[in-house]
Amino acid sequence: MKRSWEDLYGEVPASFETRMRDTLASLPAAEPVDIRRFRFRPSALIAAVLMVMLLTGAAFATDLFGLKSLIVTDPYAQISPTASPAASDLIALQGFPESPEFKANSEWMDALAAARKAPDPVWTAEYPYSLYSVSSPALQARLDEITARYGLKLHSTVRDFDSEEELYALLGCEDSFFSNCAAISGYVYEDGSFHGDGTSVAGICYEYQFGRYGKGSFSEVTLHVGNPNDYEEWLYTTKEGVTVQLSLGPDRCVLMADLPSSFVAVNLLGGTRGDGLYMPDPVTRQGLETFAELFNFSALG
Amino acid sequence: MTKDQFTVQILDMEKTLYRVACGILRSEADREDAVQECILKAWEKRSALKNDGAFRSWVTRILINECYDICRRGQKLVVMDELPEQAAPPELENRELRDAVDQLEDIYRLPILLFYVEGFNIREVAQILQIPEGTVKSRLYAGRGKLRESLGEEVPE
Repeated sequence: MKRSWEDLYGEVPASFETRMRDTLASLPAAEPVDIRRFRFRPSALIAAVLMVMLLTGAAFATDLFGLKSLIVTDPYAQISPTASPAASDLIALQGFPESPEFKANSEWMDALAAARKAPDPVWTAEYPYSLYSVSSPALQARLDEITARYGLKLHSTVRDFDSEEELYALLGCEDSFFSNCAAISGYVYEDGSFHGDGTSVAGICYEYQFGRYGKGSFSEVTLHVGNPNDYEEWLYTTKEGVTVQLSLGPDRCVLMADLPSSFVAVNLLGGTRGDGLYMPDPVTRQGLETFAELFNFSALG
Repeated sequence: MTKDQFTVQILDMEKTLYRVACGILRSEADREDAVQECILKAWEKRSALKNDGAFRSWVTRILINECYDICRRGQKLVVMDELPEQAAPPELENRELRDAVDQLEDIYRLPILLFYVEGFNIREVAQILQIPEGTVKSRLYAGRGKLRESLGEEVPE
């Protein structure tokens, strides 16, 4: 028997279709939209800026390293011949803007975007290039060129882990990276870089994706953050004395820490709006700081 | 967006909505409740959708949220291997594949459904599930590996 993804769950039952149609029929007709144009008032704008400065004392200090400064080209953005391209909301996660890891990933995203115009659908990358989005000999050469220029190594081996203990065993590590970690699974590279989907509990359940990026290695991992202007960002010093950058957004939060031998980026799967798929309750500023205390950055460094 | 336009787009998504609901909920009644709530919420919040081209992924995300709400409300967390057997529809020919997909944990099953069955691209899956693209890729890779364990080499492309 030939398996196929089509008809995985069979035909749509009549009762399901009926419910859909009944619901659609019950919708009220659209009301005319009340368009109110925003009128620019300089005094209001200045007042708002001053208020933001007062409320977030570290605004200027963090602006250099805010999410906005980490945006890279989105190589998979939809290309329309008529519409102007949408602003990218993709950030690199390997370091702050001046780091070789960030610059290399940024250039690599440019290369991937350019390569979309002339894809090579037949060619297949071999190991270790198959660990990256290398889809043509030209891209492979480009990756070699970028990583050589920034003095970065490509990953060579990757292994899965299904628990904290397995992670530490693979790394040969005796210190614990996490506090109150209920579950974590993911994959780890030969240099100690790893990604994991984790759950930690501290009052509430924090669901997150954790990334540790070894300095000196190349990683192409990126993250969509939506509009970076929607985030409140500040620096926070943990109880163990490590300063981290926190970004509190409507649908997600981002934690970043520039450590001596690695860069840590954590994507918390919940935000201020509180309607996330994984974290249904709103995340607050204090909640995000509590979250930052769940990691042992000195061990991760 | 007019009501007629909205209706046409939702009806075009009928199979997607059903299959995504199937991926999370096992009861037909729950699936119907979820799609009803999804339609009502999407209509109510339609002005929040800035890009009409993203309608399909936007509605899918709303539906997934509704499915999880139903799970939470009823304390019916989906643990597939503890659920009773459900009769396969008579027209279903690849029962083994469905069973193998149903046995996957949520974190693997939803990316597999959205990518392979519904045809969303990596970016759209990432947006729907609110996870990074790299995580989508790793979950697809791991999910296929688990399917291969269940099905041998006969995992469809």
